[in-house]
Amino acid sequence: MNCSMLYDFPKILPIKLKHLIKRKIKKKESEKGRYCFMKKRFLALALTVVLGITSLTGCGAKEEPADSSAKSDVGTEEKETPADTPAGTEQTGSGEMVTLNFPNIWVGTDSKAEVFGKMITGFNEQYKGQYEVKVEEQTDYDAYRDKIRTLISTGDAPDIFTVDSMADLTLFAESGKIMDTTSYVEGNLADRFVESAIDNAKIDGVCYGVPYEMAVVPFMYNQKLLDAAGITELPASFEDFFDDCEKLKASGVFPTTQMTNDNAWTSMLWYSYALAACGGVDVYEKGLDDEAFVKAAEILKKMFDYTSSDAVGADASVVNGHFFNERAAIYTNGSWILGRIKTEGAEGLYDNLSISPGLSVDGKNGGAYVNSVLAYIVLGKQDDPNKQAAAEAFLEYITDPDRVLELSNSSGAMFAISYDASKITDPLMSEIMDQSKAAPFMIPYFNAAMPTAVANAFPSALESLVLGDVDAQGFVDMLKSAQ
Amino acid sequence: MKHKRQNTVGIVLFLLPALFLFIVFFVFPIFFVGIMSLFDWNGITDAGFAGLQNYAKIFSDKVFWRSLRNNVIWALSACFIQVPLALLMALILSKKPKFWKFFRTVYFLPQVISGIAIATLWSAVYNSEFGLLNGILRAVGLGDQAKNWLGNPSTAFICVLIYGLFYIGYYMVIMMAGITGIDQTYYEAARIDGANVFQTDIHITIPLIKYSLSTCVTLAAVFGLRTFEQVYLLTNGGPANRTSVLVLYLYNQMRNNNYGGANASSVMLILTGALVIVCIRKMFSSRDE
Amino acid sequence: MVKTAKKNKIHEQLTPKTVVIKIAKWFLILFFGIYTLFPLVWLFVTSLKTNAEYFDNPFSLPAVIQFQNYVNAFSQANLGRMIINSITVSVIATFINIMAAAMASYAISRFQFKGKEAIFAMFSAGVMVPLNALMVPYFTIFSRAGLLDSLNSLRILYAAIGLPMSVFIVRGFMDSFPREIEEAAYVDGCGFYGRFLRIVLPLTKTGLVTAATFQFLTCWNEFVYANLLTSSPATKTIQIGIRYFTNQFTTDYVSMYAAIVIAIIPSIIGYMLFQEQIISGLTSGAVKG
Repeated sequence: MNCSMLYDFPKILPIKLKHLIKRKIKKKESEKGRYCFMKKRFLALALTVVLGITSLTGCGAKEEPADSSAKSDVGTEEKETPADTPAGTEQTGSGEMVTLNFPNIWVGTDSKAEVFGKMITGFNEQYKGQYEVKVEEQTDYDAYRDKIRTLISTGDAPDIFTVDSMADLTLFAESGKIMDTTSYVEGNLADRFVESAIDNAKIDGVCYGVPYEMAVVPFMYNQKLLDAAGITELPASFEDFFDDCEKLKASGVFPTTQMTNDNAWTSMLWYSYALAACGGVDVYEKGLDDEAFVKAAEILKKMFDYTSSDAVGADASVVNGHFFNERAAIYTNGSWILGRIKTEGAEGLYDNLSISPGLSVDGKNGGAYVNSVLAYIVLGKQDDPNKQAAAEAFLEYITDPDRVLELSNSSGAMFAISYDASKITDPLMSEIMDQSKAAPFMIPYFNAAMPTAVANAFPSALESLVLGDVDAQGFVDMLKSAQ
Repeated sequence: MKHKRQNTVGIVLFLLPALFLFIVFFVFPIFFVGIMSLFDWNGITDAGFAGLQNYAKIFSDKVFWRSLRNNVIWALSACFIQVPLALLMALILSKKPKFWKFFRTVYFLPQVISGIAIATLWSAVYNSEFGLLNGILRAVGLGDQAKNWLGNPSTAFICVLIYGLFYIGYYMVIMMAGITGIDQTYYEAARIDGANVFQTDIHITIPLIKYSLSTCVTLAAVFGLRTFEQVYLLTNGGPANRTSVLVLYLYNQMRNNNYGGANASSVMLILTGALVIVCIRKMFSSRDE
Repeated sequence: MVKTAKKNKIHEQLTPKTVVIKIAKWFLILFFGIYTLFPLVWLFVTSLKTNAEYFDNPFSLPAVIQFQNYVNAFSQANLGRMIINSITVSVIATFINIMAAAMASYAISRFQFKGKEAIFAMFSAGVMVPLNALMVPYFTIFSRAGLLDSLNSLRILYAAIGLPMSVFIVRGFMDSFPREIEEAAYVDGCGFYGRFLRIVLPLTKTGLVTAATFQFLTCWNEFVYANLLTSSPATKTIQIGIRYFTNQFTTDYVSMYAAIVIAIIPSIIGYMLFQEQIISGLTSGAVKG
């Protein structure tokens, strides 16, 4: 073996290499003239690049975001690109077009996209030359949330946007960048909203977010699978519910649908129903120390005995996949899912659906409905009265009962606007509507009623509960410690 | 001798563009993050000075330590499994076997495909009801081993980690670029001496791509420490935070509007990374002489 | 071109040992080939299914091939415009990034000056920075600079955020060729800038192309800041297009996958062109000498 010799190899070689390269350089020596030219050209290019960037970002570099202080200074004004939103400073007189920017989530494949898009076009037509709403399409909800938070944090709140939780709305209201709409919604729009919707949306007596889309959440049963398991009537209590689960399990399907990934949406809704049964109408006011939260956790844990093996770690697509393809019998979600069940569910699934309100525990608190505001319309604070008027006009336009009815019918979504329920075309939707009207009480779902940190802690606390790391009390303690 | 070759103006001029971008987009923001890590801040309203409380809080949080541990495991397995595999394949492909260009492109594909698609695919593979993995186990008679891979505390982390280790294209490309840069005369001389392929690989190629190798090891460690997307899309840290990693931990604090904690975690992340980079550099340069 | 590669064939004989090695080699090549092709094939097959089929079984074949998904993806999400935006953003950002990185690396790698290792360590630590935590500072910078909702903001930002990585990779390559080469050039009267242009850049071409490949992909796949810093349709990039098919509660997976397939085609083509550059650079440089 000449390994040792080989090992020395690299040290000898560079000399050879050097000669090799030298030859190459010599060859190109003849092009010396060109080289000088290149040198100059390169310098010029480098300088352009450096200076170009300097002039573009100079201001940003100078004033670091130590604090999100007010509007742009004089120095930056001249560099404002026309593409940017019009400056928030005084708009001179009337006659000038007022533009409102609206990062909007009801676009793309959202079921409300088409009709809501028509509404915006309609608004822009009606106020042509006066107001214009410019939509910025936002499809990824997490990214949308990040963007809104950043915009408000830096003092650039959009003119119109939506917020999905009371906790976020409260936080944003504290920023002072949000318009107070109380007098407007209680004046011109007073009779448009369903009973107490505005009152419930108030923060310290001020309406910052106008309740718009509602999540109305029923139990959904696949009647075909219930029949196959020999279940003749829908359960009214959780005790019956678990008997039925046993029968369904024996018949070879997953009784319930559960998930723990992302925000554990489906299981969070089940927990909300268990809370309604265990704690009644004021369960959230009692706070996490109330034993209803522990009792409801026991119910939720038991539900995980009657679900698919992939429930821990499953996301919404897994849950939907099970119910849509008749692998699971009992499901819960907002009414908006009906449209998707129609188009993507197994054949006949939609016609086989039975809808029911919440169940009782120990004979108490049956028939409840879980029901929350899913989207508050929020307006950014305006210094310019024209812009404020434009935003209010937009609010009036989109809360018009006829338009909302069309939006509801086209999408399966429900709203905090009162409109003629008899004009709802989808039979299951009107059944949900009737049931929720007849419900003895309603509570919001858990995530909507809790601080953001508690809602975010729910999935991992649930996983700990299901995996047996903690008991029901421990589960509640985990939620409490997130507060 | 040396200083004659120096050109101070040139050096400054050449450093300027990079330094400028770096100062604007890294130094200032990180300075901001560092300062804000000392404040109790929800991202919206005024911040209150909190001293080192944010750090105290994350240090007493079990999830933080678990995340750090997961990151360290991740970094180590990238360095000791992924990079060696990439080196092996780089050596094989650089011999230009049939279709090598095709395979070189194919190996790199996972880098090109959006992370969303790959993560959804693997969560479907690991799914216990319709997953491919359980299907294969049942087909070969190991059905009793079938489980909910990502929901099981004992398998979740290894499953999230392992599939990416075999996507070696990234490091392979760096090392192949290093290998193609080697002068052919080395090999000619080695052949004259009768060295076989293994000997040339071990005694010529590997020493000569030392710098590429050190780049790969450092990057692997760094990527291991700042990994996020794979976990976020597959398990979101679950079950019960067992697959959590630092960047996810940080992200969750942001979502909880706890910017003080998020900024403190950022500072810890940057410090850990800087430490690791320095260590690896020292390691490779000490072998220099 | 290919002649040189075939030289060593003379040595090979068919002994049992070489046969085993050959089998092992091809086993590895094929294993990694199939492993990395799997996501792409799955992605493509899934993008031709219906959502109902996808929900039913993620691994089934489509009953009827749904080219409609591609029509949807292209027409609804306005992908054409987005691809063009992404291309201009990525190309310009990559160019700025690689120029800045090459210049800085040249200064750091080939010269001695005070604080150079400190500068390099600073750059390297930048690799660890969790960019998601910098939304507030970055937004403020671009807002103050009046660059919101313009592709220039993305070009500058992407050029900057990829710098630590590019400097790291490029320096690794620059360190790896011997100083003697420049000595020779210096003796021949080549100055600071001349050595950079005529020696260092050509010799590190493979490294530059490698770093450029990664930088391009970083730009191409970036989503968070593309969504944060732009708002009008004219400034949307391809990653926003991919997410066009998700919304608050549901995702149109098959159309999204179709959009992803469309989105990776330009980057695969770009990658192959870049890699071809390495080969041609090699054959014209090192081999012909």
